[in-house]
Amino acid sequence: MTTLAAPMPSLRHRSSRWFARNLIRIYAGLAFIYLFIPVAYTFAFSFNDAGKSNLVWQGFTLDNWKEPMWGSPGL
Amino acid sequence: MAFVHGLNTSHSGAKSSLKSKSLTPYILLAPGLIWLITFFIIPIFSLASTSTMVRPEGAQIGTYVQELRFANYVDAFLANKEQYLRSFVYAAFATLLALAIAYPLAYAIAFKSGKYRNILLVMVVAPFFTSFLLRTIAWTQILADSGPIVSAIKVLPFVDEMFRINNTSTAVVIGLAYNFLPFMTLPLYASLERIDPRTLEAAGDLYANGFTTFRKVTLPLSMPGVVAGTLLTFIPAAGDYVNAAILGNPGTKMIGNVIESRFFAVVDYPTAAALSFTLMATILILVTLYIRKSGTDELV
Repeated sequence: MTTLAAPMPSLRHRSSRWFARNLIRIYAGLAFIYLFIPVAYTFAFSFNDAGKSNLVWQGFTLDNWKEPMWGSPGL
Repeated sequence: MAFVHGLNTSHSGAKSSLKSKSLTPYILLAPGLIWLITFFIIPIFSLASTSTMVRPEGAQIGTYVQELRFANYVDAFLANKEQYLRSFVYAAFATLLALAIAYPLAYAIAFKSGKYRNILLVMVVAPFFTSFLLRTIAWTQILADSGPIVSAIKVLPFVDEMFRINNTSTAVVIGLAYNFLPFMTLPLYASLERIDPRTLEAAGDLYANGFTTFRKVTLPLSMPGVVAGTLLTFIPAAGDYVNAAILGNPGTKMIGNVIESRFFAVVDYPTAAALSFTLMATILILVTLYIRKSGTDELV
């Protein structure tokens, strides 16, 4: 049945086959991104060098972590 | 059997052991029963009695007397029917969105994850180790007008300049679907994972392609998970008020917000109680119809 010099499937063909085979995994990956966006966002913006309003990225700082870790001697 | 029987009657302690055996179920039930009576039955009766109370003329705010005024229910419903209907619409959309996200996710974890299965299951629950409020507030910032998602969508040519997600019904539905996603994913996973792989192989042997196998074997066998997941998402979503309060605007208020403000801001206990009962009754009816319709009475 097979021809002797079976041509290698084109890159486009192979990548689309890979995509079809892994569609469910890609979807699950996107679902995990959806799940982790708020947590990742909160974590990232805990390093934001902003005052009261933590809406816009102002620069990297570790100051926000001082208070909970070393700032409260009562703990 | 005869031996056991003879043993029981011949021993001196047989009678007392028989008696304690018949008491065992009640002793085991006692903690749960006491808990239910104290924290469910009594509050429900107290709420029911509050729902028909009336504030006497000239009485202080928050003072109510029992007058068995059942018209409270009609008044409360008519004054808030918009928010009431909206709760169910939002909860339905959020449930569908959560199902659309969770089903493939649960499927991938159950069938395609290999050795990573357990860690992926932990990852489904892990985001929920942080506070419910914190995650919802984080969504307001992610969906903010100048935030990354809205800015990205605005790049598209056909999107209106005024386009926004935050403080819209879309944001509320996204938040609801997000916050109840594990309640959807885990029952789905449990029912998918239980499917005998031999049934899928048998479908393949009978020349069913992947899609037919899914439609005729996997999906029907996972229906208990779908029913459990949709119920676990829909019921709390219909009564939720946090998402609508944080992600919505005054025009997206749900019945939970009305009940909350009636209780705490307006101090109108009878209306809040009547609304709570109406909500409870509606959910009960919807759930009963749903379980009947899905034909899984014996599975849930």
